[in-house]
Amino acid sequence: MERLPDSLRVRLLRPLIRRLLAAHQARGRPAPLDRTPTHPYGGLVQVFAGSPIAPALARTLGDMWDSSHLPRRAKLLIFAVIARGLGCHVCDAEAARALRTEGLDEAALAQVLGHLDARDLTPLERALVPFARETIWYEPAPLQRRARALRDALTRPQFVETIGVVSLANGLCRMGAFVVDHP
Amino acid sequence: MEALVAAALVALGGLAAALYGERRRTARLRAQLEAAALDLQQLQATCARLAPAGVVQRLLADGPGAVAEISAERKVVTALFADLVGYTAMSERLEPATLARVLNGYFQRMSDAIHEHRGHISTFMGDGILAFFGALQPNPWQCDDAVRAALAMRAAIRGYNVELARAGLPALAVGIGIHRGPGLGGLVGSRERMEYAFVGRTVNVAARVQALTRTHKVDILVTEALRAELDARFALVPMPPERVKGIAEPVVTYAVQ
Repeated sequence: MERLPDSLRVRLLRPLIRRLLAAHQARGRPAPLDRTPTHPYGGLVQVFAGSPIAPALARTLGDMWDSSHLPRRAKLLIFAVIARGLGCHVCDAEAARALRTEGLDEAALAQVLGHLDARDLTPLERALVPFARETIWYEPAPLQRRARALRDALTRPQFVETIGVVSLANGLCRMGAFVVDHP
Repeated sequence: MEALVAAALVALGGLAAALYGERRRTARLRAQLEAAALDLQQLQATCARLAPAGVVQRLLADGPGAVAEISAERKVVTALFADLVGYTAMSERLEPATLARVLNGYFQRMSDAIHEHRGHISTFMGDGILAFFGALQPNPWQCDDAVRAALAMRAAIRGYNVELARAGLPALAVGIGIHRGPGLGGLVGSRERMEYAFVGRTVNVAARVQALTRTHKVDILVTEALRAELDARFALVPMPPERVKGIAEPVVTYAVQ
């Protein structure tokens, strides 16, 4: 894969690739947000308002919250755990607020974020919460081992969605820690 | 016309030769690059036995300048100190080669248990092990991790003792002390020899608490500072406060069931 750019075929295609990339760059103009996102982490999208990132991020986040393979509370728990692990106070507070509206009381929230488990969690959430924590500091071997164990416990769509949610949560909370916590 | 064709053929031949030479040179450089990458991987693997992998990667990536950056970071960590009970008597009874084999098996199992719970081993001191949780990366769950690691070490020792008994060797027992507190983590030492370490009272307390496992006749003890952050679902038994060397107040500890 690393040698692909130097292969004859790709070199012959370079002019075409250059044109495609140039066209893509042309689309990357400042783009206003159509509307202020109301879903959790919408505030982070607002930080990027005016940049082409903002509408793309808003769309991605919106699609993620709308997707139904994982319950909304499970996704929020993933975000909350990753925010706590990365020390992003804004993301942490936002996830906590949203989790309270999902019916998780203060004691259960403190228990799950403090110890990665609580009696109030569903079996699915109890599997996802510790896995979310594993994704914070990228260590391939243990992460792959735990991902394989999780794969056996979830359906295929749930597993694929989990990977998407943890990836997005890691990216967003890192951005949050950098952009919002330290403007 | 013929001369023109001949000139074109010569030019083409020259171009082909140049291209061929270029391809050979690229292949040679690629082979050298791959060999260098392999060497680097081996170096990283070797160094990772001497220092935490994260520190090694940072040193290799950022060069010697990173030493100053890694050298002073104040943080709160959880220190786990483990020591074999009755090691001196055992070392006198066993042949050196057998003792080394038993010890290596012990260290390997303890290391696996610690790494599995996101700890890193700072150093082996004789038969002792000093490990930290939350030293290399922020870890808000470091206390739970450390106690889970200690429980995994207890289970690993039990499994290892079955193997030792089968080989006609004496059983091992381990004492583990865990404490949480502030200190200074990073590369410390002289210009000639440095190591990643965590210095401060926290390490001393963990070592003293480990020694208390003999007094209280238990295998895992944690301090009050650790208990305050620990998941309430761990079963703990309070031990009578004990005075230990270097600490003014009696130390309150809890045995982990």
